[in-house]
Amino acid sequence: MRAEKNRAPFREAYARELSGVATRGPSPAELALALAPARLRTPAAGLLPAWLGAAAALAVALASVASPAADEASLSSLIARSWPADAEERIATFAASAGGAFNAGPSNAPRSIP
Amino acid sequence: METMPESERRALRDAALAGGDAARVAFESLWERFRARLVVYARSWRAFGASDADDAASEALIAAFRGLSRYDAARPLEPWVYAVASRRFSDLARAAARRPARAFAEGELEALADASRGHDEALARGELVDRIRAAIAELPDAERRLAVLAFYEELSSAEIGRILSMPPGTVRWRISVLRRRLEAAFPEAVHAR
Repeated sequence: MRAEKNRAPFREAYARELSGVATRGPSPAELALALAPARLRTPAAGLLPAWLGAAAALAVALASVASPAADEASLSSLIARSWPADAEERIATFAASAGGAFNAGPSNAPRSIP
Repeated sequence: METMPESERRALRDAALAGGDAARVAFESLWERFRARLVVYARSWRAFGASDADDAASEALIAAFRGLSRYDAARPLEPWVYAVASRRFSDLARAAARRPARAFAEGELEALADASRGHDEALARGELVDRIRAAIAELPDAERRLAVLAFYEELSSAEIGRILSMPPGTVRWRISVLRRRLEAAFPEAVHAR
């Protein structure tokens, strides 16, 4: 009885919090995302992590080895050699995923100073 | 907060797995039941702005709906949805923290100032319910999540432990600390399961 009475202000507080949330139904895009068949959900999901992981591993290898040969090779050329069929698309995706930190040009190209 | 009966939980999961119109109706039902609650919960991740919390809640709902095939309908739905949402919110908050700070949209600063004035006025008027809301809103993120789950959703320590990946004993201890803090401010109103 006492617990119920003590809960009342919290229930009222929660009700006010909830009533302060603007109500809306799901957008068509949200519905489509929720209802898309599993196999179509993320068409590249099965592919992207693997090849992005491989590209990242190459980047780490480049940075850690730091040999003259590695220094000559940019990550973009490594991606191009590894996936010649769709290198451009992969480079663009990797550049986007790296948040602009990825230098798609040759390693000896001029770089901006942060 | 009232929990969904088992028969309804089973019907919801089965409809979601059936696809087509049944799945659409099931998603809309899940949306209606949880969206506002998840927006309130998402606000306890301060990395989200007001609109980000709304988007995060939508994403969490979509993730929960798509994951219903893994849901055991013999168990309550609420803790399961909150567990999915917690993981999603944490991922999104980490991503948001990596993004450069965005500029406030037109009118957003004014809306924040209005909300703050509203809080201050409620506090000045001394309305118990609004003082409770303000006190919970001002808690650090982790405590605010705990307060939402324990005092608003009225979930058990075991359920909260599963949601926040914490031993139930730790949850009980943290709730008791939180309750003591709130008791000091609102001796007439505090409870916890």
